[in-house]
Amino acid sequence: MSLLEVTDLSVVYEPHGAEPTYAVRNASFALERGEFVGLVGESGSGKSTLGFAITRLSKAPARISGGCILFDGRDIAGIEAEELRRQRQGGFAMVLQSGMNALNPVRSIRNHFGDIFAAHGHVPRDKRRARARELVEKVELPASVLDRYPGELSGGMRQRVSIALALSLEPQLMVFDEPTTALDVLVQHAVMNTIRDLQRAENFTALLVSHDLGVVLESTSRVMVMHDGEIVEDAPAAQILHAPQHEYTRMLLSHYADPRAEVVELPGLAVRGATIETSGGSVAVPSGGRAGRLAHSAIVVDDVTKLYPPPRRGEDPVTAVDHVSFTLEPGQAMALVGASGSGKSTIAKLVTGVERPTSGSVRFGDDRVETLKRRGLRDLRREMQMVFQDPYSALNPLNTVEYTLTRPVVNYSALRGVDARRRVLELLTTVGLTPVEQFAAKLPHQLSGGQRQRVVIARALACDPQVLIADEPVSMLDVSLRAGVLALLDDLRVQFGVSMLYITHDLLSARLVTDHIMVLNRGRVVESGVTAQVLRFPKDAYTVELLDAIPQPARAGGAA
Amino acid sequence: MRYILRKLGLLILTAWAAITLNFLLPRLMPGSPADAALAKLAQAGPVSPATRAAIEVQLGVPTGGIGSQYVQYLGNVVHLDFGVSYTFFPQSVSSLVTSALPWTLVMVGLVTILAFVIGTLVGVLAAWKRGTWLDTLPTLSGTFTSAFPYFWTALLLVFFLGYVLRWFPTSGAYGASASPNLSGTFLLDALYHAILPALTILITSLGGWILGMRNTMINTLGEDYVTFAEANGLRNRTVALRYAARNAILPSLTGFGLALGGVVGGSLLVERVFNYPGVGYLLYNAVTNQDYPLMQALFLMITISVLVANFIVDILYGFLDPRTRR
Repeated sequence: MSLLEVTDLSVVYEPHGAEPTYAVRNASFALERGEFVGLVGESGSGKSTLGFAITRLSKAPARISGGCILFDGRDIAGIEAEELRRQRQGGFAMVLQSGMNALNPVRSIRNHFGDIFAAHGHVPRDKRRARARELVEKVELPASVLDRYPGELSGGMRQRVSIALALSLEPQLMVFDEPTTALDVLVQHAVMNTIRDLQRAENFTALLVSHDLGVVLESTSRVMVMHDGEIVEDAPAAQILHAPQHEYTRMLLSHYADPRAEVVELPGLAVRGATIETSGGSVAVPSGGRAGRLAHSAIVVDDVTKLYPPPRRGEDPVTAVDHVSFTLEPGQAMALVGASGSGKSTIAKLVTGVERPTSGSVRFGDDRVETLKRRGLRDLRREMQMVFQDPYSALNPLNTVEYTLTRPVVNYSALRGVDARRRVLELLTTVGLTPVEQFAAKLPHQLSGGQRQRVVIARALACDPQVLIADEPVSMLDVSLRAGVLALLDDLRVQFGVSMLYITHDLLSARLVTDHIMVLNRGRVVESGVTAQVLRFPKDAYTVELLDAIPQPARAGGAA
Repeated sequence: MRYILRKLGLLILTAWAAITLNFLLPRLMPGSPADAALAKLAQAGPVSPATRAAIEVQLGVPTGGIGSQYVQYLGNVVHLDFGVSYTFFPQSVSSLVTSALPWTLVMVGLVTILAFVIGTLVGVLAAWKRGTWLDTLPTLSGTFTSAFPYFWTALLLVFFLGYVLRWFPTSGAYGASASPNLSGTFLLDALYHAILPALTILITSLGGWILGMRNTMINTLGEDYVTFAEANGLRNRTVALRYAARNAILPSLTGFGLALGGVVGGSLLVERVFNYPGVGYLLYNAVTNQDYPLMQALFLMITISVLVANFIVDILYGFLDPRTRR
């Protein structure tokens, strides 16, 4: 008998005063004891809804509308609340996506364990302290975290604590819902390793829900692919990788590539800097065509250091950027890569004049950016524009696309009325949002993530800038939408000759859209050079670590 | 501990600033009470220098530089010497305030605390049982009653419960024949007199607490830590109280601090309607009779009580939210 047997499960969202949406339709699958299975899909595919349904955590307006969930031979789809509560010990546990927020900020970690032990009484009172200690050690944390509050722990530590809490239930089935999505690259890698080790050691059955096919293929032995509420493919990991049956699976796979490979391609995105010599002296081919207006000023960052005041009195100041120098030539695209806290976003703030360096200088053309006052900064922003990470919060939800784009056009140019509108429509054409009239009238919530990011890019282009500063522009987007946005950024360089500072932790996208790269670690540049060269033949240990942290579908079945 | 000391230091600093402002403001105003009185007399005929000197002495027009005045004022504040009241001459301001303060503190203070406790608990229940009658009934009636102006509620209660039904006395804090002491009969009498004003404050302030708590609680119920607590099979009581309500109460607590601070000065209208001999009624008298020493002392007391209430809430916050302790 399988541990979990799901038959014809359907989940419907029934919000007040809106059409019901069928998030999961007739899902049927089984999980065998001790198996590690992946559930992959893009946002809106219904994977998390399914994960919540099988652990009976669905809340209104979501409702299980049909089917049955046999857990250990019992149907749990309709059992009573109190019985369900008791089932959670020794039954099924869940680790949530945002482990950062899964802990009660006003209770110490020890109390979190205490609450679970008290609710189920499965650990005798005198053994609870020792058990809590044992559990946090299992997730590779020191016992001292037990006396801390969630706010005092890092994101990775918090996610480890929530894994330990779920583990304290001694579950037979663990559902991990995007357990590492909100974490930093290197931390992500480490937490996934812990999950894999735990699964092997404790031999629980695990379901890993993720949007990242790479992570799933690397960890699990079997993969279910979900699309539009249906499970479209269910096969061993190796088969998914080498002989995908469904076209959607094939599409997802096509968006993975190894940034270390000789030739890197994504659908719709051309190869960059292909002509490099593999030994020593390398020649980059900046593919920026010079058809449009040429960027004419270089950004010269000269020996810049930025210190922030210490978080607590009596401690040393925080060095966010440590003696960094580089030059972004007109029309060039440079990647700043590193884990969070490496100083890459601080550099963006220094370059745009949002923050002033503690020492060193930033020059743009004839201007010293750090000395600019209000007026000068305004002029600087005409030439330098930002593309933000989160397209969901970078647009005012109450304004139409047209209004959003008209603002910068009117602010930064003499165009008014009909001319301004013509310019807005032209911008929409540039970023590929056609038919333009239709898109101009839309509100942000009517657009997909990729479309919103295009609007953000169009807004940045509105004042015809020389430089685009793109801060993780695709990290919030679904894999299948990333290539399109990256291709757009790349096109803009070719068409308009804008230079680009591309800030990311994602080495694959850096490889695709930049010619030069700087690898940052704790505010210091550890390696820099031609992108393809650095990524293919990394010299610094930190660069290697970053490259190794990228999930590789090719390592499929690692945890089989 | 360091947290408490830091907050205490801040309290003393702001109190000093308030006292200094209270000293400076009347001196920055043009004219003085003595000038006003003299101007009135001058309309009837010329004022002799002797009359002028007599009035100035009577009203205590200060002599000496502003520096020595300030030192003297600080000394007086420390000894709670605020001079003599014009209206209730020759009673001292501090004796008037001490006799009014207990009535306000006990009646208004207790009701404010009671309203906060009941309102918060009802709010928790409403949010937890969202969508059932336990939610709609308190939410709807709370919206309704909190929209009442409280002097109007007071008048309604006086009219129906006091005048028409004659269940409760309509004015005063105790019967006409009684005199304040701590005997059982007097306390019962005082309680009986306090019911109508207390009910007024309760009715008008309860709704705000219910709505505030319910709304923040509904937000915290959507937090991941609540979902995770449910996923871990914690008991409903634990999830509702220790996870959801414990976090949702923090914004309400700030409001509670403000409400506590308003206890001393904020009950003016209710005390006026019921002729309740508290601080609000005293302040009303002081203002209508242009009793400057009394007003000045009352304003200072209101300021200080707001500061103290905020200090208490800050300390409570420190206990309830580990994030503020750092």
